[in-house]
Amino acid sequence: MAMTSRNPATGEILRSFDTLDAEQLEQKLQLATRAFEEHRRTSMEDRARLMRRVGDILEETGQHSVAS
Amino acid sequence: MTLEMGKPIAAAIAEAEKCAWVCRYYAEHAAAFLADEHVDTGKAASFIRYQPLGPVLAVMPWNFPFWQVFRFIAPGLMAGNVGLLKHASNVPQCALAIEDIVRRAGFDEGVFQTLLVGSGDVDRIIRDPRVRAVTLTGSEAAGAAVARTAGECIKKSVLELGGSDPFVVTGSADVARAAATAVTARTINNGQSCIAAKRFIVTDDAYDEFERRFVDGMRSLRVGDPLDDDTQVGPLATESIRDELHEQVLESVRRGARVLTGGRHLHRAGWFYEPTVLADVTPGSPAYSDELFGPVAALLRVRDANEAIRVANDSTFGLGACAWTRDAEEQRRFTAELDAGLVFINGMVASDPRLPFGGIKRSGYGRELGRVGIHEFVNIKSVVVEEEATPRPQDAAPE
Repeated sequence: MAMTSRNPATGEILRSFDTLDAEQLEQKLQLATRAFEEHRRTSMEDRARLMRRVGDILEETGQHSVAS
Repeated sequence: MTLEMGKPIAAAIAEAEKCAWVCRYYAEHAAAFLADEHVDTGKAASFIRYQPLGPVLAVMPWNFPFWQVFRFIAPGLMAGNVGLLKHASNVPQCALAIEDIVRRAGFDEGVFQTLLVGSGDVDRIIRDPRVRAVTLTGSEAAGAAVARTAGECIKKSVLELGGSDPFVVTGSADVARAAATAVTARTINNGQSCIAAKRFIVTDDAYDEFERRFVDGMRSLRVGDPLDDDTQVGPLATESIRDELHEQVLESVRRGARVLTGGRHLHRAGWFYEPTVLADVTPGSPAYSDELFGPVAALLRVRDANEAIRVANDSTFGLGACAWTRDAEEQRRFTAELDAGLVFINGMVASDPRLPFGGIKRSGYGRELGRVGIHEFVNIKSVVVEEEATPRPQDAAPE
């Protein structure tokens, strides 16, 4: 199955993506479970540092991120 | 965002900046929000500890394709949860861009993942025992389906669903300012916002002036290419949304509403709809009872503040509401009596990272944002210690 991105101002198809199959979804759920065991042990200071960095990236690349 | 769902480019940049704000807000405050809270119970120690739940599924809509997701990511990841995003099927590029931003910031692989799956997969993802909770922003139907499955599995859910927010104006208001704000409140995000004002409820003594100014304002909006900096209203996100909106307008007219301006598709490529004002909207018609997800306003004339409150609350929804009045008693009554999760006086309803956001009735349950928002997906653990530990021998102080 494909997931399609279309430009509503023109109706033009921008890009299509394959959706995940069952095996790919399973891999992502396994990864989430492993990541949780690590992430839950990180310090609040580390999480805050990375979250501020997310904010910086959103601002730095705002124009590019939103239009691409 | 602009290319995938049509919001004007200036609004898309503002959305990215607001996302940065919510990230910094929780970066700064999460430690305090999640710190142990000591409670005096007369025991040796007793306190509340907030601990993460695990992987949380977020089912998110296309209308604010970054903001809706980052207001989940920021508190969720700061609380120690990991996120799985099932984004709306028309914004896959936004969904992948968000995952990329979180990774580039340095969060470990798997802390936040986009799942390119169809809505048919949501049920089995919620049922997966590794997924511990689910949050959804979207339609009533999607919310009910998610809540049903989450309920069967005894998993926490938060729902932020639709709204048909009232915008009340009385004779004591600054009607010119109210009407100007009303135009923005109705057409923000091309009219596709759950907290956009949709029903404009105006008392007799302010009605004529409000209608004239509001219709003039809606008529003068610049509709066009969302990549143009001057555009105020872009296209609707999909053809079916545009067609459904037009059908709601036609049905409301069949039930007695008058079209004061708009009411038509624009004859150009893309899914544009004219900013529209309907007057004499009748109870039971779509413009009165349903959510109109596009630039179409319903005007309702009422006698006084009492009737305004009754009409405002005559809705299955209860998300936001705003009331325009400079009368202290009316301000007190609107604050107390409007059935909504957010009430703004003399201003437009807007979300703010510092304030809880969510609705009542069929607009959903639970809250996002603020201190309350980060507590939705944590284990609130009560700890009571009746006898404190004795030091281990190796910890004892040397003699």
